[in-house]
Amino acid sequence: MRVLIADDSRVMRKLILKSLKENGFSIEDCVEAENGEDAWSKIQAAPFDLAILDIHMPRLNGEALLTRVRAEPSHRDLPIVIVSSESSAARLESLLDQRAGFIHKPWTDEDFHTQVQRALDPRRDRR
Amino acid sequence: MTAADDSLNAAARECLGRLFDLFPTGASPATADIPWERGVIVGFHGDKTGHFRLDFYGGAHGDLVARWVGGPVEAVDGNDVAGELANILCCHVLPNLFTARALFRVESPRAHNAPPTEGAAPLAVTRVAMPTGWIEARVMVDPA
Repeated sequence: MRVLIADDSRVMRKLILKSLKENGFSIEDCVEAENGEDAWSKIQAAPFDLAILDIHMPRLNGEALLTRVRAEPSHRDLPIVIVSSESSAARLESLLDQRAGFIHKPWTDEDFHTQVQRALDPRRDRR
Repeated sequence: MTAADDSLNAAARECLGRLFDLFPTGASPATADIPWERGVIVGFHGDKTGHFRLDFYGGAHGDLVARWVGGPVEAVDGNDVAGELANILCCHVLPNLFTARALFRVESPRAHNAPPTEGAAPLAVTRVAMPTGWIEARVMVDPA
């Protein structure tokens, strides 16, 4: 799986990658971005199987990037999971509307795995 | 210790458990002659306005960095780690201290280069003994 991890914190990028591996996801290629514009450039440059985005990033935040991706026909089906320590019902509703998963920091392995798996296979919950 | 202190302490312990598999059970240390390492402040706005402050003492910071990244402390930016931890703790404790429905916007963490001083009373403060050193978390709320 080719994955994009966008977070302005290098430590968090390392931890997200570590959690992906520890939760059994096969990562063949991991590309990192430290802000939203950088992430958008990388999404446009080559396809990804999964993108994990922090909400608070300089230049373009995760929610704005999500909206941009969903509005672009060639990328609109990219599985996306948003990671944040902030959570609110309104935010979760907005993310669900845009077909994005949400991982709340600090996450548990179970939460992490469920959200990533759901993003990768959104039909699973409807079976 | 107030109910708010207890709530803050419980939230901090829960976060440490999830992040580091650390479940400190020792008594919170009294103010002791343990050297201060660094502090981080996260401002918050919303139903209440104020800031969350996290301070590291006696080697706690280096120990937590090593546990978190699983590698040498020198390989990462210490302020990055301290800031992320403060951000996570702040967002975790605010709903516990106020209500789950309260809405907050948090600022980016900023390092603080001096230990906390006695001043306005915090809404909540707690110390948690770590395998190495200890951490102190406090929540300050601006007057309405």
